[in-house]
Amino acid sequence: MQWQSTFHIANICFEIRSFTDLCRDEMQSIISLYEPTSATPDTVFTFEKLDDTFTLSADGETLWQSQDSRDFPPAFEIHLYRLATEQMAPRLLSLHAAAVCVHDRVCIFAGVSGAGKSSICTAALLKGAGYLTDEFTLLDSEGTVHPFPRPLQWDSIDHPAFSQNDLLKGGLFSKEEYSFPDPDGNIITSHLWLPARVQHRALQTAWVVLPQYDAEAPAAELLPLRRSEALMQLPQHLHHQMSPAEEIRELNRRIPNTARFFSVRFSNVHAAWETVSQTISK
Amino acid sequence: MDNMLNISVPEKPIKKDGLTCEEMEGMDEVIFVDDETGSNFSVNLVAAAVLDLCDGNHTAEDIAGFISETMNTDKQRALIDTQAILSEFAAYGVIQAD
Repeated sequence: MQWQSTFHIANICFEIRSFTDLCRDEMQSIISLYEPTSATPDTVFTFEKLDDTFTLSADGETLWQSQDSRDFPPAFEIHLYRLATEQMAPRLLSLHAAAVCVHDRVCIFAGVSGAGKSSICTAALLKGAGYLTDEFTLLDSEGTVHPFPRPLQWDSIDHPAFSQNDLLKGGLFSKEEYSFPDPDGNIITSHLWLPARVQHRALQTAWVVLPQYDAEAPAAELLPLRRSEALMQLPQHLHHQMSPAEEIRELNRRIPNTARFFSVRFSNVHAAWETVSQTISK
Repeated sequence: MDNMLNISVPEKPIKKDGLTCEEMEGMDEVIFVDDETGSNFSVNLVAAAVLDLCDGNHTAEDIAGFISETMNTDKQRALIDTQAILSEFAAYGVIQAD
């Protein structure tokens, strides 16, 4: 074996056993924000080269095969996220949402792709919030959110709202990347942004914000929502299949009664976080 | 359910099958989920009580009497409110005739 690494995401322990040194740096970048552990792994990923074919497997089941080792990192990411969310349920339910913490309390940003949840999360991190996740908000029945701190990613090297310089200055983020060929042979580069302030403890949910990016909106407009209004919008963001009534029941059970709900419509993500931050600080 | 529509209400309305109720503890809000369509709506506790009484055995007057007694409010006022709530429920297909 060339290298191995054991880490946990919430209550699930994963181990990577690699029989090749190819893609080692890229793979380690992907898992760099998770806490290492010496616990017995629940799932073991294996990377190996067999008869000129690179194979990714989990607990003996082949997940991906390719002639090109550069396919490993994206394949691993996809399967890691899938297996993690599957194995955590039903103890933890995963909401397609970003989460940051301020003074040890969690602010969740839930929305469809393009609503701006990762952007507002990034704006919060640039102002010193702690990072829990940009995609998998893990809700338990005690009203807490467990961190799933995968690297933040967006398509191009520069985000419309954040220049590389913005992100790298001050040491709040570092950057890694990996490249892989798409089916047509074009090289895709995935840029991984690694926040410096990662929260590793589960913390209580205090606020749920439903962001809506709108280029025509004022800089930022924050409105309180009734709990029922917000809960009715959240089921579409669950990563799990269950009946509509179960979705509402589980969300109602897992988001504390003390949580406050808001919508924020914004054209400027920095102003959006500033508005949210001022309100939740009160 | 903000739009009042002029819809006839069955004499003894029946709540649509397959509606599941989720209470927001400590709040004046209840979410009903239609398990068949996946649609949902929220109402206050009074409207939730009205919907609960839509079992095909109660008229609007019966329901208003119950609401008025429970909440210690004027019976005529309760009847007007109950009829308005039932009209909305009928408009949204939440209640049906026997």
